[in-house]
Amino acid sequence: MTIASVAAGAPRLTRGFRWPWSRRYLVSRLLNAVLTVWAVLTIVFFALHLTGNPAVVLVAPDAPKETLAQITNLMGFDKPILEQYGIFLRQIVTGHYPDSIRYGESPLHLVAHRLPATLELGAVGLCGAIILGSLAGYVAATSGHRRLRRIPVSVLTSFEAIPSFFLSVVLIALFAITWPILPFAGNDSPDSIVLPALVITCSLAAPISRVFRTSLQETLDADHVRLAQAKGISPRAVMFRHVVVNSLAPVINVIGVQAGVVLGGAVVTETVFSWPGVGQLTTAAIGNRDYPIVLASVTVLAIGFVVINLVVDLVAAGLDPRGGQR
Amino acid sequence: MTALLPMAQTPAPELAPAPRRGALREVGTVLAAVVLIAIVVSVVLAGVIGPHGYDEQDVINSYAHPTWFGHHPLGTDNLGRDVLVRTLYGGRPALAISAVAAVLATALGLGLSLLAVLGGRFWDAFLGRIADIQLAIPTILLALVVLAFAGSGTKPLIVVLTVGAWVLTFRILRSHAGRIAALPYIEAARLSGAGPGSVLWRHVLPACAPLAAVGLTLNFSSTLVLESSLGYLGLGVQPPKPDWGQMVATGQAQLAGAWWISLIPGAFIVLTVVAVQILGDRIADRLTLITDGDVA
Amino acid sequence: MTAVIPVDPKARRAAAGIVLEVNDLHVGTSRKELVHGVSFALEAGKSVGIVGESGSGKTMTAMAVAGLLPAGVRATGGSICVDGREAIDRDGRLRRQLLRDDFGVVFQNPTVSLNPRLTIGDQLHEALADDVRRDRRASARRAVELLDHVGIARPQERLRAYPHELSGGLNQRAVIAIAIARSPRILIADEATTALDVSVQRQVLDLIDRLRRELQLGVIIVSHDIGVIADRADDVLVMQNGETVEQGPTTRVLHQPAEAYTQSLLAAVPRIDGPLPRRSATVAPPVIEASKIVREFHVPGHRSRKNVAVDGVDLTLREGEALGIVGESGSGKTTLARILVGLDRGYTGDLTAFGQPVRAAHSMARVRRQLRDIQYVFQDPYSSLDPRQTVAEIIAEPIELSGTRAQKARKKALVSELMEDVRLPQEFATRKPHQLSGGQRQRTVIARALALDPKVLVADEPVSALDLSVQKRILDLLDALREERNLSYVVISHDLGVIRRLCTDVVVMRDGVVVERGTTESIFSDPHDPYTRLLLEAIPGATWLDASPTSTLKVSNS
Repeated sequence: MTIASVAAGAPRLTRGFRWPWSRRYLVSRLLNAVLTVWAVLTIVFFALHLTGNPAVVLVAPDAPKETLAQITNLMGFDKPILEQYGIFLRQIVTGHYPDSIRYGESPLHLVAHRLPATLELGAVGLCGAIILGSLAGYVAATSGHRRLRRIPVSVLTSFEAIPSFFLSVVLIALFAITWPILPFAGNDSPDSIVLPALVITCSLAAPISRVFRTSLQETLDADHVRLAQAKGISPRAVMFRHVVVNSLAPVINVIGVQAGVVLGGAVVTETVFSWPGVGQLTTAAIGNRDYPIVLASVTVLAIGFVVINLVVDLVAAGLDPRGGQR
Repeated sequence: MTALLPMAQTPAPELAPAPRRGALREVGTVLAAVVLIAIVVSVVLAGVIGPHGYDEQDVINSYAHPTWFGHHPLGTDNLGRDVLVRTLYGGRPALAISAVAAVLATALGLGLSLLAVLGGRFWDAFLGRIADIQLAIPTILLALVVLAFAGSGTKPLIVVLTVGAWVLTFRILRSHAGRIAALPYIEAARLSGAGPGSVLWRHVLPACAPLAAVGLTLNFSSTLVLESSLGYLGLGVQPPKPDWGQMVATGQAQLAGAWWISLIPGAFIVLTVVAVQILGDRIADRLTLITDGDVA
Repeated sequence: MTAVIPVDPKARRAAAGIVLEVNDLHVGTSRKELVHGVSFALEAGKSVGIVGESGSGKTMTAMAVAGLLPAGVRATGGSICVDGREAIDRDGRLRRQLLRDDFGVVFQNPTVSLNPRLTIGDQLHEALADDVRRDRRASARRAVELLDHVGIARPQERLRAYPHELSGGLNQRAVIAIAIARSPRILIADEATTALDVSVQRQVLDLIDRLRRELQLGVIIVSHDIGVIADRADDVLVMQNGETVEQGPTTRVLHQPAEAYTQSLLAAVPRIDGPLPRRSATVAPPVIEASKIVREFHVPGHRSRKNVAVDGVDLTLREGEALGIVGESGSGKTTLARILVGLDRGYTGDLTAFGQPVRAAHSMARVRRQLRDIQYVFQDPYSSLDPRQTVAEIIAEPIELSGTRAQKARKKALVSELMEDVRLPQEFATRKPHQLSGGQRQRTVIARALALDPKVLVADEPVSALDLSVQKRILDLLDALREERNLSYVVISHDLGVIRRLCTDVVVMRDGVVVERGTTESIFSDPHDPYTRLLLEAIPGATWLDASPTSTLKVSNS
């Protein structure tokens, strides 16, 4: 009995639970994740220092030279780049960032304060996308009606083509201004999550539906489905126990990729709807050239993305008895 | 290797699914092509079409409703500037920057994927790792950071867009090229005396070209979306030069009273993206039909 | 056994123990008919074989009988009577019930037929009878019982195993266990042993025979392998293009075929008692000499584990010889072939070609330049040709890449000559692979291999992906080419009939070592090594060959 057979709903004929991942696999995946986070942060660090002295951006162009020198000294931008990098890494590991320029408090606190809102929005949006996408993909692969096979996925794909910021603006124009039924700023009322989550769902559902459809179509052709049919069990049992479960792996992978899109897209969506999450904090910070906050929030978002992908990888490997042993 | 079942002499056409054809589909393709051409041509000829300059202010006539066929066909904005003209001019940076970035991203993705597949295990692992890391950074975030701290402008924009888009092309082509490179006919070419260069030129590249062409259209739609999103956030082309995304942002405050300022440029973005995607889809179909019976 | 069933069917059926009656069965899609009027009857405890090449409709017939036709294909006419009950006009649920209660099906590739994500036990459980399934302990017991019945050792342990952890033979036994789980009346074996090694094939076929007798099953054997049909089927239907060409008791049909098609099909079988290829009387100089070749592969993921594919092999190919390398999967024969041709340079040992040593340390390009006169014929004609190239381009490529100046100068003429040599019509020069049949593709592959006028051809399973009748023509072609161009061959095959047809000398490999070598004649008539003997005996069709009037070989049946 393993995750896969439980997921497949197969009755437990055999006793005992087999841990689906070998220790070697877990360790290698974890190392991978840590390495990726480190690399991301390094890239961000060097991106921030592209112009040499980030302080140039922080002060007004016509400010006296002493102000520039002051800020440079204060932020430590005059130290050699490698030393700055070392400090940067230390900051991340210990969590002690320099205080935010604008708010004067630890950026990590600010980010942590905003994180739940982002997670809430992301989770709702992603769930909506998974449900919608899976339904559309399933119908596209299995339905007997030609129209039903083509239309849902096409509709989702057309929504995907609309840039999320514009979709947000259009939805606001429709549902908050023309027919003022939904709020479009902040998260004060329970239904203020509707519009922003809807935007996220529309953008993400299409890839999920396409991948699920393709995966189902491929599995339906597979030999083991024929044998399952040859047992004479009901088509529904064949579909769920043998087709759907075997088709899930690529979909889970796509969801992992989409999670990254959600994290990034949240930046835009939160800004449009003034949703008080990490993304909106980041755009404001960039507008204010608030260097420490940018650093902190990018760190958190990158770590979040890597963690999500790690979980996704483990789930996908756990579902396949052959995969988790490498 | 154990015995294979004897293959059919010819594939069984009666059991293969019929190619999807239909009047609706043809109409859609033509429509998409027409729309795309119309947009591109009018953007290029923006100076000729609009009687006004994009910065010509006519404050008395500000917030004029679209008349559709008369003077100021698409209305005017808060400063009386003609929306049609501004939209057409706004298409220039949007389309040009996105197109250049898309071409660069596709070339980069194609080139690096071939390097990964044919260059040996080191390059495959190294480039794969870079791609993974890049995917871990939400593109918008990286773009924001770079543009905010390195300054915005056409060149940084193109660089950021290219860097954001190459990864997807790389991944898809790498897996495709990887499959091709494992096929026996590649070994046959090596047995015939082909070095890696000949194998690439004669066999792998032609096999990847269709997918790369489709990738180009996909990249263009995604760079256009990204470019306008950045413009919306104020990090793209700066005013007074108009840009589609930027115009959507500045017009958002007047949504209640003068929706056309914001929604017209946005509509142009959507039309372009959808048209490109439809055409890309059709190209993919045709290329599949051409390589009918393809082993890979 | 006759085609149409006469008067008083019920009585006749009951008396004869007939479990299945098929009458004038038509199967097709909405656009085309695939099976045109097939009729036969099947008795309990007996077996019917359906033999034919690809596209003959044999699988469609069997699937129609079971009720397992793919989407879009239906039984459009005739009758299928299972144990007295008419099946053909039944709808979904009833048909499924018939399938469930009365049929067991075994497909070709067992590892793929089983769901890789479920254990053997889980999949077996699905096939059990409803009342047994409800009780967990009873179902576990029954499952163990079934696995034991099909000869799987340590059944409790195997219940928890996944398909990828078991061998092909064990998996196929598990599939058979699933098939007989509800004590069906009819067992359908659709190319059930084609994907298995010869020795395992025999065991599985023996198992099916035993079950047939013990459970009084009616067995339908669908196969392209005439030897299997000859050994195991009481009656046979020969099909071509959806029609029954000939049918009757196996002994009669195979020994006295009435129809031309049947005769040509039987003549196309590469027989292990067939004529031997020509051999020169004198001892020719060696062309390839291999000594102490060892090739190890690292198992991915486990740094210390190694898989030794070739474990110390010595080999000599002499001019004008055709050397056959025979073995089952895992014997190392393909690895060895690739080493001989320079595709694989990760070996240790000495390799000498045309008197010059071959250094594994050199780059592939350099080794290939040295081994220009040794060319390779691939196994799968479908994936060994670039689908984007025309036939002319494919054949010309070696000339363009490695040809001498003289060859390059007459490239076009050379291509025409080569096409003629392999009997490909000149009009095919502008065709692409997907416009060619399997046999035509393989001819293209051979023409490409001959483009640089080599002295040695290494052919890895050159005909195993082809239909029987096409096989014969390609084998004839290869034999003729050897004479016409004075070539030497190395032929890799698991099929002893092919080896006999093409090769003058044979090397038998097992688990990376050579267990026996000698001339074809001596190996076939007087094998020394027990493994060689096992291989020869396990070849299906021995009984047929024994009794056949043209047989010059006595193969013992132990």
